[in-house]
Amino acid sequence: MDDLSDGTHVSSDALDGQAATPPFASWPSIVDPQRLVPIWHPDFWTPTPETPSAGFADAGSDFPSLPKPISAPIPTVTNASQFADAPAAPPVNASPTGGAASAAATLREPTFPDQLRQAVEPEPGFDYGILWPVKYDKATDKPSFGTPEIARSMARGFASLLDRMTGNAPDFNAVPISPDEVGVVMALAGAGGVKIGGAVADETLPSILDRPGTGNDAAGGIFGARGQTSGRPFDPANAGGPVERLSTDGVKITDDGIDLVEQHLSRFERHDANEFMVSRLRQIANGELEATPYDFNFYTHEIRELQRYSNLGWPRGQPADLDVRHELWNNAHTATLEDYGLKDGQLYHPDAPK
Amino acid sequence: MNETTKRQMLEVLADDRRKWNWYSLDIALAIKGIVGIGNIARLASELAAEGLIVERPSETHPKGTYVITEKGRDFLLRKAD
Repeated sequence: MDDLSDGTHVSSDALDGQAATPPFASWPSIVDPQRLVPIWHPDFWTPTPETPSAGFADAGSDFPSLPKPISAPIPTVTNASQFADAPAAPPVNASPTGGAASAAATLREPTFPDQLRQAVEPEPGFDYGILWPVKYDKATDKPSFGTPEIARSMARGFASLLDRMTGNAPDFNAVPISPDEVGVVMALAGAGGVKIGGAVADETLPSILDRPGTGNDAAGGIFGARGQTSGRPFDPANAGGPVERLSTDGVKITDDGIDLVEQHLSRFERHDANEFMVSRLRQIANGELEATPYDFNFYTHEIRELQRYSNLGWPRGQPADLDVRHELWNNAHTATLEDYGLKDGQLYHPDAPK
Repeated sequence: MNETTKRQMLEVLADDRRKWNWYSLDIALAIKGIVGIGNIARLASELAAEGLIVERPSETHPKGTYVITEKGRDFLLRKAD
C-alpha cells in the first residue's frame, strides 16, 4: 500500500487496469482530447508530511502558473569533499570557477517544478502529453508516492483508462527526472513516442522516449537513452543526476580545479591524452598558454564528471567489476557530455595523442 | 558483435604504440565518432574469447591491457582485401 498525497491508500496492484482510483478520477475532466495538453494535478505537487521534498516545496503556491525560464544561479564548488558530502538530491550543481563557497551554498535553489513545467510544454502535433512526478525516498526505499515500478503500474492504469475513454491506448513510459524522482510520460499520438519541448528536459526526455523499445513495449529497458549530442547510449537514471544545460562561459582554469581534475582522472588507468590535457591546463593556470575551447571543455567535463561519480557514491576509486566500471563511467561521462552539449572529440586538443 | 564493430575496435588496437584498456579504447573510438556500439569492456572480452586480442597484465593498468594478436591482424588484413 502506498500513501497518496491526498491520504488515499492505493496498492500498485490495484492501479493496474483500475485507474479510476483517486486522484486519477479527476483527471479526465482536465484532459483536452483535442490536442496535446500538459496536465499537472495539484495532488502530485503537494509534499507529503513524511517526506518533505525541497524539489516540490515551492510548487503549491504558484501552481499552475505558466512555464517560466529557469534562472537559478549556478553556485561554485571548489573541492572534492563538497561533492562527497553533498546529499544525493537535489543534485549539486558545480561550476569550476574557483572561489570559496560553503557546502551549503552549493545546493542550487529548487527548480524542479519549473523544470517540469518546461518539460511538458506541448509540442504541436501530439494529442496528449502527460507527465507527472513520482517521488520516493532512496535512503529508506519507502515511497512517498511510488517507486519507478509503481510509477509504471500507475501509467498502465491510466493508459487503460484513456483507452476506455478514447479507444486509443496511449504510449507511456517512466523517465528519470532527478536521482530520486521519476516522471511518467504518456502520449496518444506520435508513432515514435512523445515529443516534449522544454528547457532542461528537452535534451534528455525526447532522447529517452525516442529510444526503440521504450513505452509500452519497453523491452529495451525503460531507463535507457541515447545522448542527443554525444550519440552515446546511457542510463540517465544512474548518471549521478539529471542532465542540465551548462556552459563553459566565465570559467577560470585554476590550480584548485586542476587538482580536482587530477583527483578524478587518477581513478582511471593511465591515458596519454588525459595527461596531455592536464599538462596543458597547468600551463594555462600558470599563464604560459592560452586556453582553447578544448581546454575549457576538458576541464569542466572532468570536474562535472567527478561530481556525478561522487553523487553515485564514488568520489574516489571504481567498481572492481570491469563491466560495472564501464557502465558507471559511460553513464557519468555521457551525461556530462550532454550537460555541456559536447561530443567526445571536443574534449581533447587536436595535438593530444590519438 | 558484428564484423564492423570488430574491425573498428581492432583498427584502434592495431596501434601498438599505446597501451589500451577499456577506458582509452572507448575514448579513442568515440573521438573517431564510433559510439553506441556497446560496453567496450564486454566487447573486448568477446574479442579476446575469439583470440583476436589478448588481455595482458600491466603495472600501470591493474585490469590489464588489450593487445592485438596475429589472428587479429590477419582479420584486419583479410577484411582489407
